[in-house]
Amino acid sequence: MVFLNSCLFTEKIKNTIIFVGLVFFSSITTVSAETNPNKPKRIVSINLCTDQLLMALVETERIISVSHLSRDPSISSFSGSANTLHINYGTAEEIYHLKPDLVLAGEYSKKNVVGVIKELGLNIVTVEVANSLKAMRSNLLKVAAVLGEEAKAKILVSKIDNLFLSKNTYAEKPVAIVWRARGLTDGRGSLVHDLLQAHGFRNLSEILGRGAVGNINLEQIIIARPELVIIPDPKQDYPSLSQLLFKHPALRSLDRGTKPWLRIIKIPEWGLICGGPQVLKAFEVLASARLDLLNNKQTR
Amino acid sequence: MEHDNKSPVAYFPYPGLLFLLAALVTVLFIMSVFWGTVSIPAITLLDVLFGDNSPSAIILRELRLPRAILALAVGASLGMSGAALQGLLRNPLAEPGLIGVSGSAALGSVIAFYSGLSVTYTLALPVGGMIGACFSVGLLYYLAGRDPSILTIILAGVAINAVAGALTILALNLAPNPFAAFEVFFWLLGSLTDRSMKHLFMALPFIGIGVCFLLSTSRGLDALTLGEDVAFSLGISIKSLQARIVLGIALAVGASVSVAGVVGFVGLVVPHLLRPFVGYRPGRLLIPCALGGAALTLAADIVVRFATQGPELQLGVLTSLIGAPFFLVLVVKTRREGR
Repeated sequence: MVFLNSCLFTEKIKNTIIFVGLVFFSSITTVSAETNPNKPKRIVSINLCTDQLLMALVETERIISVSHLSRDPSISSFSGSANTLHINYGTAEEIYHLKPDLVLAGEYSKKNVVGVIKELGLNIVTVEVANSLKAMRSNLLKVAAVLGEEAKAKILVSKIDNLFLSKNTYAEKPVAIVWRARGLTDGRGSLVHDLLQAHGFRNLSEILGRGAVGNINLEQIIIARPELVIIPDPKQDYPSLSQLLFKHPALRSLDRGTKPWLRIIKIPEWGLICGGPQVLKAFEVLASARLDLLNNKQTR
Repeated sequence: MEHDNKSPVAYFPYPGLLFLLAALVTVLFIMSVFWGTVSIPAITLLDVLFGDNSPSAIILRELRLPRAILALAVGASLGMSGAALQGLLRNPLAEPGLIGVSGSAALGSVIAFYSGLSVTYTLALPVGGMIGACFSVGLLYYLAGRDPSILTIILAGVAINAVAGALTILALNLAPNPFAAFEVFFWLLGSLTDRSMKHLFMALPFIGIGVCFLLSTSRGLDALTLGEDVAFSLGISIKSLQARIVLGIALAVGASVSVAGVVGFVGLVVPHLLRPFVGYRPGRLLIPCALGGAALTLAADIVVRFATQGPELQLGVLTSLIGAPFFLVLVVKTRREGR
């Protein structure tokens, strides 16, 4: 029984992992659809990350439905406007009923749903994980082509480029870590890693030899003494087992104390979950944290 | 009662057994505090005593110590609950995890946590666990108390587990947190990683009271082996005995599950291993099983830290890997004896 249950669970886990760990910075590559001369006007998105790209690129009149997760203010950057939009739970039946001319899905959206939607003859575009700034950038342009919004995308991309590619002039490279629920971290080969590097941080996850997605426990953080620990800031205060970690007294005792070698900052979770224009928010927060750190060093 | 000493090891001196087990627990406890992802020199202990704020001191004081004490308390309550339950039902297969007590405690905790109750009232979490556990032990006793055959107990356990599992999923589906199912999946596999003193203060009092309840049943459990009528004529109140065991298990297991998740099979493996050493007397089995359970859980909790490269193995996964084969052997053995 136990084993059977756990087998059934793995499928669920796979789907959930999308949101929790792996696809924190996913963005888009076109898989099946070609550039559309006539802009799609009835667009449905069934993935939180495609929801956000859609909101950034397209006027809401053309969106007929977004995923239900987009109403959650802690993981969605546009939860406010999502409240007025129709939401779906990603089942083939409800999507078919909406008669969309374009469906956007994530790479890890339920495989059976994507298959059925294809069989029903709907135009579906699946989204891949962007593991780097470069991938996120080119995917943004590609999906914009599908939506017929190349001009908008170009403005966004140049904005991102200006921020990321401006060479940082910091001589010192303090150690930082993005520490997520259940101790998950982003190492080399992730967009977060690129983000940290752009601000002249060394990524603790990389120093400890973790892959693109790794796991670091509280003991290791306390011993490694990174100068900056970045944790998600849940806007919605629902009870969460995996967020309890951030309330552990051992972590907080490092933040205060007489020898504060560790600084903890919070970034809105939606700024870290998906690779899209909302990453700019995370960029701002990191930039100010970097300045703070510099100023503190000087005054000390 | 010397006649039921079937095994040669039955003459193993009881104080000697207790001493050995206590020594084992002490050694494992010390290892648990000093061994981990990061190794800490023993000298740091002095710093901790003087309230130092060095990283090592913080790790020892705020992470390792609560973790080791919790492993000890959770293991002891699971081991003792298993022994008491087996004595009450006169069946070696009864175990808090298998018959759904842990699952029901988990249900109670999940409801207390995701409804937000535990945010307002910290104690809601262990209380939820205890209510769930109490409900399931009561139900089990109602279903199988009169006829504690293997079949009835296992079937009752399957039913209770199924109901608890279904209601847990229902509670998760209704929870506002979209990641609830994901989080609880791991929590149900049991773990003591990154627990704090807060968890300790939350669970320890209840575990203590539960263990006291169970300890008070020692004489009654011994008498019960002679049958309910004989036990009654020996001055044992069966009703009171049952009530104390049900309550004791509910408190100990309920509070344990609410902080550590489901750590299975400890209550099955430990009593089975130790039974020959106490002359098959269920009353005498209680204290050795508490010590044995603590030792097994402490040892397992040390192994999980080193077993895998990446994230730690879940504690309950390891105890299940050890316990499940045990269970199979026991089923075969009990069936053979039953014929």
